[in-house]
Amino acid sequence: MVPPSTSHTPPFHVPIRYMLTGVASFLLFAVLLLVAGVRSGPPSPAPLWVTTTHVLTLGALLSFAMGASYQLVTVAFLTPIASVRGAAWNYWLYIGGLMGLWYSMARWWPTGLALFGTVTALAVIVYAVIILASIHRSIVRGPIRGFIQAAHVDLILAVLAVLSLIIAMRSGMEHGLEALLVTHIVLAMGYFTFLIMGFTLKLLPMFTLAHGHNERPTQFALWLLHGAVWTFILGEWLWGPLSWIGGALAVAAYLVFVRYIIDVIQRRVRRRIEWPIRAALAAVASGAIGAVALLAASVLGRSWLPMESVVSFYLLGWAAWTLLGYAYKVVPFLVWTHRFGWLAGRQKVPLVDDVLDVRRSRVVYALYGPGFIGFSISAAFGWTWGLVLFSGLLATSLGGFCLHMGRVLDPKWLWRVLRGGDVRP
Amino acid sequence: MPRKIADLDVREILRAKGEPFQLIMETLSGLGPDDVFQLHATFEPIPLLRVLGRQSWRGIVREVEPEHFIVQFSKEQTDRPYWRIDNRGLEPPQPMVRTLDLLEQEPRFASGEWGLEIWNDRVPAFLLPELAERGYDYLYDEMIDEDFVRVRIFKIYDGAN
Repeated sequence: MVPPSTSHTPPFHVPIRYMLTGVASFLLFAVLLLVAGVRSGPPSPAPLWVTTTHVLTLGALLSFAMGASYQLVTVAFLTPIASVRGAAWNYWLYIGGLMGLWYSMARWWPTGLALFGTVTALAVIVYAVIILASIHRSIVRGPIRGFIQAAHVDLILAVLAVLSLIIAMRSGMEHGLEALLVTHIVLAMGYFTFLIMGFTLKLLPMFTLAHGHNERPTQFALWLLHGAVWTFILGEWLWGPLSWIGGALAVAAYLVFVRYIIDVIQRRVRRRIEWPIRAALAAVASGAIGAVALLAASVLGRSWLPMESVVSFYLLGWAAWTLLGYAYKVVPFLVWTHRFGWLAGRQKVPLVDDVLDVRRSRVVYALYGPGFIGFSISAAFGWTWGLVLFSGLLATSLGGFCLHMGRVLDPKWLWRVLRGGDVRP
Repeated sequence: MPRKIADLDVREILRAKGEPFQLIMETLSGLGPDDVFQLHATFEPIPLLRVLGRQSWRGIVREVEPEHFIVQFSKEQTDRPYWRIDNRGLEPPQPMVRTLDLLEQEPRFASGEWGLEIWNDRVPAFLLPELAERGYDYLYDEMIDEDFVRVRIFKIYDGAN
């Protein structure tokens, strides 16, 4: 038997600060998306679109993923965070850099981009190093370890790629800028994909109460994804057709992963699949379609299928939708654990469903699904009216999500916790 | 075969002045060495404890309400008697709530006389710090072959509580 271990769970204010920033960024993204659709037309390198994209990626997705990782790594790897103090202080570095970076992007202020981009990059690297150091101490093995480690290595490399891009731009280099940008984007997509697949190995069986499924084939998905990321990047730098192989490997990785998902679903004990889990499953399908689109864009050429559309479909359909799915299960559970877990046994405590009834999420998904599909198609064909219409759907859906997340948290209790106070009165 | 807690309620038979011994022995004959037999009775069945004790089934008894006694029999040799609950198939935080409820309800856990053994789908990461907070020690064991985690929760028994 394993000897007693101390508590691995970080103080609640560490993950929840990042997760709340993620939720608030979703709201900001929803507003900016609507404004950008009306004012700037289809997604482009225009400052407003660049800002909107980075509010989604660096704000909503990455911030939420950072908070969730600080929490889930302790649960999945049965290890404490390597530096809780570092994670807590890094939040302020990150938020300061992020605000400045968004402002610099919106104003297209090169000095600000360099300064705040470097600060944000540093904060992201610190986060990734803390997670990698935490996993390094863990004795837990298996595919999840490979996925989460790969995610954070790719994240560090994505940040280094964008720093190289900034340096190259400021030093007046003309060659290799697009390749650096593509490298940054592919590595960032790799981060989200490795991270989601890794945590899905833990979360999906837990929320569907599945047993006896085989995790081993996901090792193939892991190596196929590594191959996909690096052949795609090599294709960009060395020889274009290599990116075809990258796209094909990405499709193969998804096929293996989908097979694993089907195995879990078939072996679940819980018959009824809840709406948030359905959303996460739909997101896997979107990710697979995104990989096929990536392959098509590589083979047919980017004039046929703009990379911006593929990336936006991938981010909205895979990364964001997965997050919107699991958030409805993870956030109420976390809040319940810290608000009521210590009272269990001592007095009657509310159920997690009393904190938030997950059935409410179906309205959010009913708007989000058509919203992101319509948005991606409109972006691909340059339909301004479609962008406005579907941006509106996405904004409404994300507004509903933020409202639900806001209801989970008691403001007075949350304020005390965010200031570093005890979760207990 | 994964281990199980076989539950048998003979209270209705006892209230009707019936004899459940045969049914009890039939249930026991279908159990494996790692299984637990849980019996619901209207009184503390001391003769049965003695009879099954001779067949190396160790029994412990809880009176949960008047005329409702739960007896658990196990063949496993442990340093102290362990009450066992099966939390598999429950979605978090139900295993945590169930465990903490039981620890508070039964004073013999707090005194250290008994230990509580829980069978969970995974290591209960949020329960462990709460146990430490309440002064309990614990050991956990990942039963790889049977795909579950066994956690033994206990306090050091000083005999004076």
